[in-house]
Amino acid sequence: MRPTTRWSLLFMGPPIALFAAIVVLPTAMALRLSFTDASLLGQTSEWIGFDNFVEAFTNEHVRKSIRITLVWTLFGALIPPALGLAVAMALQANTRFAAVMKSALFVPISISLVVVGQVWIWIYQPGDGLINQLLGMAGLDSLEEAWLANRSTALYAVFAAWAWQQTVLAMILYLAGLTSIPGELVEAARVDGAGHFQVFRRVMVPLLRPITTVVLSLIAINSLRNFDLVFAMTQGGPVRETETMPMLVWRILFRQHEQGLASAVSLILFAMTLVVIGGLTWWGRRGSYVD
Amino acid sequence: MSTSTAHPVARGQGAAEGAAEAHEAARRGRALRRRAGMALIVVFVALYLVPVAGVVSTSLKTNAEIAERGIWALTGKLTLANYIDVWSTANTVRYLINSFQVAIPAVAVSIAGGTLIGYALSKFRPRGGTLIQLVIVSGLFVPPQVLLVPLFTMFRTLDLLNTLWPMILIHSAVGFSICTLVMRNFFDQIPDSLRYAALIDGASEGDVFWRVMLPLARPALAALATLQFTFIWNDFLYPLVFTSARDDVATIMLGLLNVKGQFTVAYGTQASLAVIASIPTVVVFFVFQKHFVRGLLSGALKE
Repeated sequence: MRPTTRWSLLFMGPPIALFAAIVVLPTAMALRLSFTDASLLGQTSEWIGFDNFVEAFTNEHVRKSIRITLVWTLFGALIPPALGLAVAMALQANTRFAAVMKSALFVPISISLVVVGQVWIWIYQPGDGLINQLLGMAGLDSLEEAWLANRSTALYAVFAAWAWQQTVLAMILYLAGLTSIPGELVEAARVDGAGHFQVFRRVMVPLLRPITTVVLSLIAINSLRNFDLVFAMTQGGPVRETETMPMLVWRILFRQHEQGLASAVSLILFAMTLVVIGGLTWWGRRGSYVD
Repeated sequence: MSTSTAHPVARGQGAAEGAAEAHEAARRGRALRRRAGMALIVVFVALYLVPVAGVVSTSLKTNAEIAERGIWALTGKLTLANYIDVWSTANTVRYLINSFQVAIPAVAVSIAGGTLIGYALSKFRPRGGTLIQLVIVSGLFVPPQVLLVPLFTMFRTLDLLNTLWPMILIHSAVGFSICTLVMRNFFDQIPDSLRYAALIDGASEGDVFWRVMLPLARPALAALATLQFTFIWNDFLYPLVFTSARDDVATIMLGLLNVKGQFTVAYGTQASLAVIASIPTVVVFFVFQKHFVRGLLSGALKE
């Protein structure tokens, strides 16, 4: 045995054993459960093959939650990064504010989604909610709405609260990315006659690609496993209009006690995550200058 | 793609007048853009300031006052009554202690384990290292819901439901993914010659790690500590699933959620508990903010 092999075992053995017990083994068990009709209450379970997956793809609630999760991820990948980049660029041009702002904006991303959810409930609530009060003051009483209780606005309302926090995350990362772009490069492009849009399009966007990949990956993961905010704000309601996949799994597991189906839906979510991250990684490598 | 695209200019630069005019136009353009940028910043700040200020001000108003004038009213006497109330009557202190009892060991174990794995992968280059890294880093993409089902049964069998152990164990293990990724990238940047030099001087591999490498890793460790603490402190999915039956083992986030259910209209009480629950992570962020960004980026950018 090479001496470093022994050191490797000594270093990695204990943490890998814990990781295997808490992450790898349960993932394998979830895979096995997804082929059974196991229930959280019953003791026995039967092997039922792909029935849970067939059920998942035909059940209207599961299909709807897949749709909600995909739409959420798509909008999540578009809106917070775009806003975050815009504000980061504005901040970079107005350096006087940058330092203060950066410190202040750590508040929204350091607070829990339970707290974020609570504030936004107060913003949306009918009666003395902030939005309705502002609409009232502007004389637009007719537009007042119970934002979280209305079936057609609830999903967007919860998404907006989530985007509120994710935008800051994107902004902070883009600020770091922008400061790493050498000023001479932008200057050189300007001297060569490139306009502002061209500098943005031909110099900044390509150079920000690695950061963009990080931002999109983080936000995609956060979108796909979005449980906390939905649970804190609507618990999936009204009438399951805001039921994301993690929320649905929770419901199947602890309301319907169907372990098998819950495992199948959660594994579909896992597969979706791998596809999205794989795609983003491929996109990030494709246009990279390094290597 | 190329880094710079050359666009030779052919502007009328003959007359000095023209040049001055172009210069003036450019200056005005810059001023305009700066003003637009400033406006964007002001709107943005307001969007973030208002909700945060709303919670803080609500926490400082009496519940009676809020019931009469509404949450967002700008008037009203400010008082610390809610804080005193929440601190002395609810299980607040218990919740905070529980949260620290989960967060501190889980942060320590996840970072220690991730550092050990990352170091071994980077410097010992064991056979199968690539596969080990792949499996551990994939943990980042496993939705917690996949683990919930089997873990619930597992902790029930071990009789650990309604204790703090499930959260400590899960956060420790799940944290290995990000910690291994960041630390492996970090140690990859430290030249092997440093290790060999110390080995030739008679140090053991353990000594090299402990006395030479770890002190160098302090910034990366600080970044991970910030990240992990925030993540673990703010989590409420695992406490919700594993400790929902007993209030005295609830973490502060679960406590906050429970209070919301109990006093649906006691906004002042909810707000003060929310502020108390947020203080630890906000403080950690202010202290370590530089490390946080570097930590996030080092994990993902240098592969």
